[in-house]
Parts: sequence; C-alpha cells; structure tokens
Amino acid sequence: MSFPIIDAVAALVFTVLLPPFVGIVLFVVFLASVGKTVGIRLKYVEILLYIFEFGKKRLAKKRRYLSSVSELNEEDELECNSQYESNNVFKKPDKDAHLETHEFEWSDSFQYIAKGMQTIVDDEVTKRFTAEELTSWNFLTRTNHNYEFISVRLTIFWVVGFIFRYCFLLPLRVSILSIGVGILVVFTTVINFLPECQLRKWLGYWAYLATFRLVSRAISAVVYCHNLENRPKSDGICVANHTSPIDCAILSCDNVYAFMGLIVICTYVVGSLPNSSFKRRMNKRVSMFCFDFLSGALSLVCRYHNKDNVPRQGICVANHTSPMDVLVLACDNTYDMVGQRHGGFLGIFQRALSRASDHIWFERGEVKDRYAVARRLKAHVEDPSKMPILIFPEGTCINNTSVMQFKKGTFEVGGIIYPVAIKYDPRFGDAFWNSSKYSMMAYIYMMMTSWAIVCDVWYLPPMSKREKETSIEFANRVKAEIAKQGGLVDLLWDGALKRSAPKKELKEYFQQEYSRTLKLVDDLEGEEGNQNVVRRKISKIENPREEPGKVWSNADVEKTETTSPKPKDISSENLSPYINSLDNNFSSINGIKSKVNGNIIETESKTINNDIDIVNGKEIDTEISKLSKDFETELRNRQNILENLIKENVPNNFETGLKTVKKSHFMNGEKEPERQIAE
Amino acid sequence: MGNKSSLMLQEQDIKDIQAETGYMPSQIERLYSRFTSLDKGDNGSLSREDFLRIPELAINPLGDRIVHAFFKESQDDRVNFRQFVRVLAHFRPVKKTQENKLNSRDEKLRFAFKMYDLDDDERISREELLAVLNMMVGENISDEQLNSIAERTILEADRDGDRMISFTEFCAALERTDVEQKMSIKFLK
Repeated sequence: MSFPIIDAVAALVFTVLLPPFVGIVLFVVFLASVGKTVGIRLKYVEILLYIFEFGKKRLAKKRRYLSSVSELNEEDELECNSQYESNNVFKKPDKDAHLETHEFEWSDSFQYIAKGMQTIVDDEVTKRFTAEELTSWNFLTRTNHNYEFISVRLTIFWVVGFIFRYCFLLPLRVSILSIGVGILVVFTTVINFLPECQLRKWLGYWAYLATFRLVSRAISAVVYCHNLENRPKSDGICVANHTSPIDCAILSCDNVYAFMGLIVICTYVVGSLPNSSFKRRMNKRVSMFCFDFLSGALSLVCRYHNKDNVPRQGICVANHTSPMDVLVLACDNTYDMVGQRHGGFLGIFQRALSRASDHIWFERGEVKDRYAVARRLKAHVEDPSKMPILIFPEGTCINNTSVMQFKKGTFEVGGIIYPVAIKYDPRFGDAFWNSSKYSMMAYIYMMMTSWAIVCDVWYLPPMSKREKETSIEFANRVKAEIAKQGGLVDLLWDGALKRSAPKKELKEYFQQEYSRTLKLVDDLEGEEGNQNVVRRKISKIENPREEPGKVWSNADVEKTETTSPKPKDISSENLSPYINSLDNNFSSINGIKSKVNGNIIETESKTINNDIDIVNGKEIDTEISKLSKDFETELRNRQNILENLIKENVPNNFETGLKTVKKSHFMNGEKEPERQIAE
Repeated sequence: MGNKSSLMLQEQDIKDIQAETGYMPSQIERLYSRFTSLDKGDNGSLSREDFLRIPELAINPLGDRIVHAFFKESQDDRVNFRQFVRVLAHFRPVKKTQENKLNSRDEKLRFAFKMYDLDDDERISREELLAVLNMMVGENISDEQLNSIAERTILEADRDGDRMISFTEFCAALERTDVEQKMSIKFLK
C-alpha cells in the first residue's frame, strides 16, 4: 500500500525544507563548539519584542472598545477601606512602642473580617505560586485563551507564531539537542580511549564547553549576566533566588533525558582524572559546556550583569523561579549543588555530577539533621579548592514576581555569601514551573515551544554576616538586596506555604497584636482590674453594701460611682441575674485572694528569713565592734578626766594617788571613775 | 490562567449576577477567575479546605468564622460561584449614586452580627461573645479578664435586660461606627 500524495509531499518537504534546516543545525553546532555567537538570539529577541508591542496596541484598542460602556462608573469605586493593605501584614512593630489601647468594641472584629474577605478576593501568597499575570499578550495560547480571535490581524500573528514555534523552533531545538548530545557522546568516548596526554585534556575541555553551549541554543536561552566580578568564588556560598538541592536534579530531567546521558558521560570522563587542579579546571569547563548546551536547547537568553562579582568560592544564594535557574547560572560559572540524595534516575544524575566535583548530597534521614547539613556545608566552604555552593534558600519555586522567606540554615554556615538575582522576562514565555499543575515533561515541552527564555542575572557584591546580626536578620538583608536588584517584591512569607498550611505562630502573632491594643478594664492589670470590674457592676446596681463579703471602703465605692455611667432603672427581676453574676465574681475573687495570700505569706516569710540571716551574720558583728569601740573611747575620756582631777587635788601624793586610782579602776571596772568624779 | 474561565461563564449569568450584586462584568470575570483558581479539584464549587488553603486567611484569627459565612446558605458544604459572589458583595463599598443592594449598611451589619452569632439563634449570648473574643486574642489575655470584658460588653449593649444581644441592640451599639467604611474592601482593577 502506498499513498502517492503523501509520498510526494514528504519528498517535497525533504528536498525543499531539509537542506536549510540541516544547514542551520550544523551552523549552530559549529558556533557552539567554537564558543562564538553571531547575535542571532539577541536579534531574535528584539524582533519578538517589537511584535509583542504591536500586539499590545491592538489589544488595548479592542479592549477599550469592548469595555468603554461598562467601566465608566468604576471611578467612585475606589474610595474604600485601603487601610488594610495585606502587604504590611508582617510589619513587626516595636515591642516597647506605646500602643493606643481602647476598650473592646463590637467593631473590633471588622478589621479581621474585611481583611479575610480581601484575602479571599486576592491574596499575596497563593498568586506567587501560579503563573504571573502579563500586561501584554505574547501570542502564546497558554497565557491567555480568548485573545486569539479578538482581531483578524492578531489571529494571523498568532497562527504564524504557532506554526513557527511548533514546526520550526521545536524540531530545530530537539535536533540541536540530540546532535549536541550525540557529538558529546562520541567525543567523550573517543577521549576516554586516548592515553593520558595533552591532546586528551584539550579535547575533553572542548567537548564539555561545546555541548553546554549547544544545549542552551536549543531553548534559545538568552542570559544576561550583570556584575560578573561578583561571580561566586570557590570559597563562598552562592545564594540564588531559587531553593534546594532537588532543583538541580529537576534540572536534569528538565533538559530531556539525553542530556542526562551527556552529563553522565562527561562527568565520568572527568571523574576518572586524578585529583588535581587540572581536574578542577576541567570540571569547570565540562560543566559549563554542558549547561550552555542545555540552555541552547531551550533558547535561553541570559544577560549576566556585574560579572566581576561572580562567586569563586563560598556560598551563592539566588531566588528560585524554575528548574532552569541552575542551567542559567551554570552557563556562566561552575557550582557545586547541595541536595537530597535520590534514587533511580535522579540518582544516576547525582552520582554522575559528584564524580567530577564535590557536590553535597544528603541521605534522606540526614536532611532533617540541620547540624549535619551545616557541618558539611561548612567543611565545603572552608576548603578553598572546592567550587562555590549554589543554594536556593527559598526552598521552592516562586513565580518570578517576588522573593519569599529565606531559610536561615544557609546563613548560619558563615563565610561569604554571594547573592545572585535572577529575573526572567515573562514576555517571551513564563519560565515559572507550576509543579502542582504541570508535570515535568509538560514543562519541558512548554519551554521548548515558547519563543525563548530571556533572563537577567545580577551578581551582587559578596556579603558577610555582621557582628551581632542574627542569621535571620542576615538572611533578610540578603533577600532585600536580591529583591531590590531583581525588581521583585520582598515578601516575608514562607515559600513552604505552597504545599503546607501556615504555622500556628502567625495566627498567634495577630492575636497578640490585637490583645495589645485591647484596653484591659480600667487599664489595671491582673486581679486588681478584675475587682474593678466588679466594683463597676456594683455601682451599676447602686447597692454595693447588700453583697456579702464586701471588702472595699465607702471611699472606694464613691470613687467608682462618680466614674460609672448613668445608673439604670432596676426592678427586682432585672437584678437577680446581676446578683448571680456578682456571686460568681466574688467566688472567683476569693479564690484569687487566697492565692494572693498564699503568695504574700511565702514572700513575706522569705524576706523575714533573709533578715534573720543578715542579723545573725554581718549585722551583729558590726554591732558588737561598734559597741566595743564606743566603750573604749568612753573609758579613755574618763581616765583622762580622772588623772586631771588627781593632778589638781593631790599633787603631793601624785604617784601613790595615781596608783590607787589605777588599781581601783582595774578592780571595779568602768564604774569606778564616775564615783570618784562625783566625790 | 487568565480569562480562560470567562468562557465558561455565560453572558446571561454575568447579567444576573450583576443585577443581584452590583458588581461590574469585568469584576465578575475577575472573581470567577479567582474562584476557579481556588477550586483545586475543578468541581465548580469550593470546600472549606479550598478556602483555608489561602495562607493569609488561615492565619486570620476569625478565618474559620469568615469561611463559615460562605456556607450559611449551602446544604452540601460546597459553595458555588453565585453564593461566593453574593457573600463577597456584602463588602462592596457603598456608592452614593447607586441603589444599595447587598452592600447596604444594614446588610453589612447583619453580616457582622452573624459572625458573633455562633448558633444562629439571632441573639448573641455572653458565651458566644466570649468564644469570638477567644478567637481574637488567643492565649494572651486571661480568662478572667476576657470574662469581664464579655460581661461588660453585653451589659452595656443589652437594652431589654435578657442578657442577650439581638440584632437591633447590636445595631444600636454600633450606631456611631463607620460600618460602611470598615466593612468594605478594595477591589483590584
């Protein structure tokens, strides 16, 4: 059986379309292998932007026409409750700040109700886990479903774009990817058979670099790196805005399984090399090449800013939007990954990676042991020969609009932190991977059929922990820097909210906030306040003395009566519930009183014991010494007086007189001189 | 994402909802898009869990009561879009030019009253107020103090001496409060 028409069409397609297609593929492969670009990707991105701008104008026109009638009186809708900005949810007020307190009012609950309703209509957190909203349409059906048929011209653009993306870009990318991988497999196998020599080293280096560049062509990746001088150096930790170890593993699947083979082979080659500075250099080249290749497979366009900040060592932290973050960063520099050890397919990838370099993989149980993790990170950071570690401290992917809470663990390790901000350009295709909505394969497919991935990478100046700064404060400082540079919203919410419920402490925080503004009755604390309430009630009933167990003086009652609101009219049937409640109050007060009494007695006896201690010890000693001193001075004075008297009265018998006086003094004690004076 | 959802919302539905709630069609579309994004199981209705998946609502001290307010009218513990919009319409800012429907002062007050009225008997007892107070302050204020606050609040608002607050007494207690402003929410775009 044969289909002549199909055959004919196929033949036509192969003869007319294949040669240029193959030509393009070979051209790209060639370019990647020599590490050059002709700026096609940049031009491509510029053209796309121009087209999007056109589409936006058309859309705006249409929209205005459609909605001009209904949205006229929406202006006055604006004046309403703007004081409950959800953004300020976490403004931690000063603990010591004096808060306006007020008594409880029924309307106190309104702020919670209004805020709750506001969050139902729109909230800060969950929308960070879904695709970002765009201001213009980028001709992708997935971003907006009913724009396609809004005007004829837009529809044409969309159809052309669709054909271009699916019939040209996708096959081109897939073939570039497979060719790149094929080349790599062939080369690395060949290299593996070569004897250890200069040629082998050189070939390995070349193969690694070429593959990665090729892969990055496959996704039309355009990466702009800023501040390259801040690139992480090997003695620090690179903090990117993404999270966890798993990401690099995700990355592996994301870049199609062939890439896995590529990495496995590359790293195997490098891993077989002896441990030396050459191996390190080699690994760097190989991994950069592999990732570059990958980014090519996804048309990744990256702009690296401030290349002088590129980390060389230490910890690199970055914000996390998609599994591609790793790819983006790895195109420009090599990093060691940190993550949980996985089995199966990811396990192969991890083992391959760690063959060539010192990636940190944790066993399942070990991850929970924060100290073990920190210890291994610390050991890694302190070794200057190791690559910088790449960490995404958010722990999950956020949709490219905000940065969420950074886990503090990374910042406890010490050492220099190299913050990296990654921001994708959403106009060309959303890089965010909504893992709860799309599978990995669906995500790869979406990436391969989108226009391009354009992203900016900023290497920020290295930061280190200040003295007296807690790791949480430090983490927030780094986060603020990344948010500022990347133009992202700085949120304090925990990224883990994507999957798990928020912690109870946050609710308690609100409750605490509210209770601090709540004026306790008469602004008195504790039991005294409670008594006051009862007093108030008594004054309301106007007859305090009829209650048993009354403990207050008349003066007290008079005072409260003057401040109380107007007394109510009271009939006997109205009074009984009050009396009941009063009884309850009194019994509770009695309980408190006995408690207080107990307390007081305890403290009283304690202070008494203390007093006794003091008296027994030091106090008595000083008392005695003071007394004996007084006695001595008194004695000396009297002796002097006595001697004078003797001199005056008995000059002749001076010697004997003195002797007798002295004698009597010694015999009768201190009383003797007194008597003599009196005589 | 986006306005995909509006395809499922019929023109007639939008008109009906607009007539009932006073929301603009664009707002209804937006709310519907939000409704579908909250509806994780694609059931066309929301469960309590769907609501409490919003972190900011889950940590709201009165979050449970607010969610409960949506389930007042439904029998099977699910909220459909019409019910969803109707409840939210209570919080539409009051407009001077427009005839007030669900967002009148009276409706707003009734909504707030129901937040306190836990057992739906149209009266707020001391115990009910105490329970709501407990939700709002948590562990931070002693039971004795809360007790006395509840006691005093009830006493001051109670007019007929039955130690319960009826809706009319509730309104009287909030006579001087700017309910229109406090019980309204900003609507994005």
